[in-house]
Amino acid sequence: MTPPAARVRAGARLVLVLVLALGAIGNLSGCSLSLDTNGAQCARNQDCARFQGAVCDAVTHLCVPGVASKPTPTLANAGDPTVDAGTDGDPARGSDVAAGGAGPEGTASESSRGCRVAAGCAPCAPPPSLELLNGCSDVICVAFDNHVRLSNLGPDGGLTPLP
Amino acid sequence: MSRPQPSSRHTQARAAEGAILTPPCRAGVPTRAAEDLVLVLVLVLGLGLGAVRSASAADCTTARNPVYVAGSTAAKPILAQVAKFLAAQNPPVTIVYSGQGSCAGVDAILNGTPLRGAVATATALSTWDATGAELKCDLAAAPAPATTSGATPGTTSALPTRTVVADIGLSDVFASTCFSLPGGLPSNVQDFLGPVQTMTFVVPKSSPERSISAEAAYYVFGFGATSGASPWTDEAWLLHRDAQSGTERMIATAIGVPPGRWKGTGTTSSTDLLGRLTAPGTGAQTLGILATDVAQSNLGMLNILAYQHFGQTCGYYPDRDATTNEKINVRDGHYAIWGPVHLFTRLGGAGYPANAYAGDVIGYVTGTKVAPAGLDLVALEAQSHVVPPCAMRVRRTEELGPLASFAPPGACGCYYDKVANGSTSCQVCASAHDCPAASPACSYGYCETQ
Repeated sequence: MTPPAARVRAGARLVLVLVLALGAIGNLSGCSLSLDTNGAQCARNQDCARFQGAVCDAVTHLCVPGVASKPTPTLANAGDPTVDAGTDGDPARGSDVAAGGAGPEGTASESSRGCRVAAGCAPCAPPPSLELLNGCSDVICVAFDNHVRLSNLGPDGGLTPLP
Repeated sequence: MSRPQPSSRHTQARAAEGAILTPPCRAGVPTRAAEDLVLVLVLVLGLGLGAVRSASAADCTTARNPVYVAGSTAAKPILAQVAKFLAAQNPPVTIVYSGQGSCAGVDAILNGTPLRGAVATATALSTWDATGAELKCDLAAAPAPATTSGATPGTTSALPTRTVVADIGLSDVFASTCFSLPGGLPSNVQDFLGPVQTMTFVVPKSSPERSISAEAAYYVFGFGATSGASPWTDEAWLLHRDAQSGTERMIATAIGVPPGRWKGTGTTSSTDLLGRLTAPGTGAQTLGILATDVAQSNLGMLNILAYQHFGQTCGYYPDRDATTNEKINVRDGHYAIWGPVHLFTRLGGAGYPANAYAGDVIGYVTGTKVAPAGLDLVALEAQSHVVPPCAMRVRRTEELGPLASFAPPGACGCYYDKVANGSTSCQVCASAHDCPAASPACSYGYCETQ
């Protein structure tokens, strides 16, 4: 007969294995476990009800923060400031064109930050550059650890001036 | 489609080419040594030069309906294919090309710097015939100032001494990356955007390195031996280009090291850099820069590094991984160092390119003019490792400027995936009726968003 202490240890090991397994699954799936990043998430705003404050982007068919979708920049309307994707650093710019009946609810970058998830990627397809650079993806990436490999970074981790 | 006959001058040039092979004779009797020399020459010309036929005496200005193009070498493969089809048109149009570097292409249009080049000095210009064969020709500058844009279509001249100014300046970078243009381009110059070119950091195959950050590149090429970025601290093995290079200027903009302040060893061309990068003795300490068309054509000898831009937490290859060719990370904004190929031209009074034939070339390369039957530019661009605008999902309007989402009309992303990698997950269609609501447009044979 198994001693009680051994049973407790076996149970604890089982719990530990389950926790690790669930954690691994969570890490592997990353953003896609938390948010639907399929090619077409929605056809109308109601399809985005599972994401608080989100609306359906009529062009990309993705659920985006409650900032209205704007006309998509194309070669044909390039140069038209009314269809700029708001990438000039002014977070309020371009958020005044409504789509799907949704009005602006804060600035684009505020909404983007709200959309950011713990894994550090941005699944909501907002326009600012950093969001696109760090958008969710299933491709292979290879991190370069600046803090480990660069000995000349400044005290705050920033770049020092060129000689 | 009729095949044009080569111009008389080109015919003469080929005849002259044969004359080069005439064995040197002494007292009219060829010696054994002379015969050996001839044999060697034949082998060198036949095997070493391949399909490129050097026409040492050909005069570029005698080409039929010439369109003079100067600048980047990166877009030469595409230009060559367009040239082949234009040469087969009726009337035939001849692209006369001088690969001088991106900023030289900008300079040729902005400042009207005359074109010149000669076989004798290894600076000859290129033309292509209707079979796609590349021919070389000479162009000598005359002392008189330029007054016109190229030669009058269909005419010939006896001597290659007239001044010729480029009709199209080809560049991998914006004009403002080469020159200070606080007021923008002159009103009579237009910048047409073509396929997207990507720049990369490369290492020899023997290097264990797989990625680099913008911060690391800043220290390596900005500080050289004192970069503190091991293993890239030996300036003899830090290979870069020169200030005229679009590759260097685009990467300089990305990492924040001005072109004139790069540490390391300068090289004269992508070919020169490639040779040094893959020479014996290179290894972990070696780092270089190349455009993807050159880098991906030599993956047997080098590796492209994943690049981690400022603000990114991971480095990305231009493609899904180091072996594929669909440029997905360029197209969706994960890979940062890219920009459109620029075709600069002067506009005539009506707002169109001053040389109408130049307008055709620009239209084909940028995709705004329906390509001739048989010319599949999307496939050609995939094979050339550049991305047509219709396959992009992001765009930018200045060098390494902010990214914006982009949904091109007449999208070709699915077809580009198919021709670049051999497969796509997109739904095949014959018309929009075959497509689901999520991707309702049938474009290039696949269901796209629009």
